[in-house]
Amino acid sequence: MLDMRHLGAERIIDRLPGSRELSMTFAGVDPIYDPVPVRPGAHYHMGGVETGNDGETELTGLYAAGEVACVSVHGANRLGGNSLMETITFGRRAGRAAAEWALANTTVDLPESAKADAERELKALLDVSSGERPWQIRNDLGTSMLENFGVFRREEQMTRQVEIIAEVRERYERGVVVEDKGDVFNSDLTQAIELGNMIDLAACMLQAGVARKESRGAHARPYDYPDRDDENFMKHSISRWAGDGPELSWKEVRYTKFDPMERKY
Amino acid sequence: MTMQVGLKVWRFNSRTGERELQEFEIAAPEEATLLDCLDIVKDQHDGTLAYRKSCRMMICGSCGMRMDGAAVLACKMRMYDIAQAGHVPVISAMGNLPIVKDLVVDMDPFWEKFNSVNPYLQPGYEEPPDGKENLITQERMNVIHKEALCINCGCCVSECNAMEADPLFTGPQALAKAMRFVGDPRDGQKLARLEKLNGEHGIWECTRCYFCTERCPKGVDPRDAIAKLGAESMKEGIDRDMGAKHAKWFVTSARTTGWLRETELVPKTQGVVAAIKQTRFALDLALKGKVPPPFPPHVAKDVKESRRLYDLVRDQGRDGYAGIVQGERALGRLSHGHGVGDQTLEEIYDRPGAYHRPFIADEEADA
Ligand code: SF4
Ligand code: SF4
Ligand code: FES
Repeated sequence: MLDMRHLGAERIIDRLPGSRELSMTFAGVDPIYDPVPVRPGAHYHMGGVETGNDGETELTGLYAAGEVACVSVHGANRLGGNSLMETITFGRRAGRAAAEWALANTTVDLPESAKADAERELKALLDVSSGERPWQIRNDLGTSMLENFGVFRREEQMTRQVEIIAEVRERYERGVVVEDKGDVFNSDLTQAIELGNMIDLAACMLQAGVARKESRGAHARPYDYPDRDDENFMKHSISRWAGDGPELSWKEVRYTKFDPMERKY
Repeated sequence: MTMQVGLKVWRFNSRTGERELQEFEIAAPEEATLLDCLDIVKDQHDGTLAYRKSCRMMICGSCGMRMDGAAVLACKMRMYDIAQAGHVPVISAMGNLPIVKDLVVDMDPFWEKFNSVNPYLQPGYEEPPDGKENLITQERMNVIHKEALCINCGCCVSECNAMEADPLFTGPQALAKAMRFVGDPRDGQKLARLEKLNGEHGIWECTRCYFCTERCPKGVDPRDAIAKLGAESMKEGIDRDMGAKHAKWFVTSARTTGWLRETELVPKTQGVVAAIKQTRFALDLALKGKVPPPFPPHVAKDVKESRRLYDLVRDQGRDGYAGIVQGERALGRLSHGHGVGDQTLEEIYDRPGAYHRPFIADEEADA
């Protein structure tokens, strides 16, 4: 329960109108009068596609911005408003740079084989006629990740989750049924594709999480590594997909004006 | 706990033009919203159903649609009471926008209008005294508090009557957004903005039906924003539009005689030629006793009251949007079943069944 009553009606209405609206709509509780039931939830994805200051990525011509990107301004902490930096500042920069790049490079040589591969994959996905629907796998992925890779992380839970992901992947690769075969706003298809990406992403997060033997920001291991370890882990975890699994590497942290320090509140 | 929810969904495919009302009966958790129910339908009953969603918490603006003919945010719509009443609502795509598939509309016309009001802060404001930070008081930002809450869901546009008549009408969302910048003390293009908004398809096309205000899930109150734009335009002397003249005549009429003189309204707002064309209509009205005869103008007994009001507004400098802004607390006013009330904290904690008052660190123990 989160109790905000001591703030009083006026301050709640003035300063927390959005939170009040959420509590009233989803929990049926007015925070002016009663405490609000709360639980952990995924609010913002702090990592993402590694980009430079203009949204550029490792792949020439591919730009990323917003929650999908990671310019690494804020480190491992979800601070109030850090998504604004990603969208407003770097979104603008990325948009501008991507547009400039697109204007300067009008043609991209895409090998015929790449196009054929993509088409074949799509067709294979649409052709599956019996098997599981993606939502069952998606729900299992979500529940197990929350359970084993949630707020407080334990070594053994993380390693168990690596196995669970392998099983989930097997189910997915056996083929999932996409019911919508059409080509107009087919979110059944996009959701099925996204599920495959989510499984890959979960594998990357787990590998990096197990390897990071410290607690930093949102990565909390209070049972075995409760402290921050700058000597060994003041570095970014970088995952690349290598054929059939993620490959972890590290990158130096670049800091300019502000020296990193522990968050003490 | 689960509940049974019935839904009738208008399916549509823009490629084939097929249209069908399809009924679903699903089991959903009691706290389910309309969006949760659609997710269950899509996952477990019919994967071909198309609708937009993203945040599931009323902030991204993706899930606007119609329920029983009125625009709602699917993720804000709790279904418990509806299901409990045994009602099976009809779900369909938003209005005033072309349907792509099922509940998905083409938002391009929406974004075009959004962009047409130049929704970015335009430089031209004074440089901050310290060269660093431009501090604006809360008071000055309150003017556009409601307008800044818009999540671009399109529910208002879906319901707009003026847009039904003129699809090119700038529309409630874009006009509310325009007010967000016109009222922003940092914006340097206020006059240019107002000029444009007074043009074709601009603010005066609004029919004042208030459907936008009624339907907005965030309390943005677009009709109020349009009224503020109108008032501010006239304050700045932009009053060439018939709508502005109409409004001005209301004021003059009320100030001089204390009541509305309909007979003079038409010549004053539309000009004499148009007035002659309307004579027949006026005579009809007069015959039916709807309009008093034009002469002599009748002066209301309490005309002083209305003059005093006029002077008050002028003296306080509250013409323009300042006269309409009332320290807006949009979300605070949205109804959720509880009134805000004017209870003190003590009264709140003393309610039967209320939780204990929490301990506050810097408070006296016996306070
Ligand atoms: S009040 Fe005006 S803008 Fe709002 S819905 Fe009606 S006609 Fe449209
Ligand atoms: S004004 Fe309200 S209804 Fe209209 S787009 Fe904004 S949030 Fe939606
Ligand atoms: S899903 Fe984002 S507003 Fe409803």
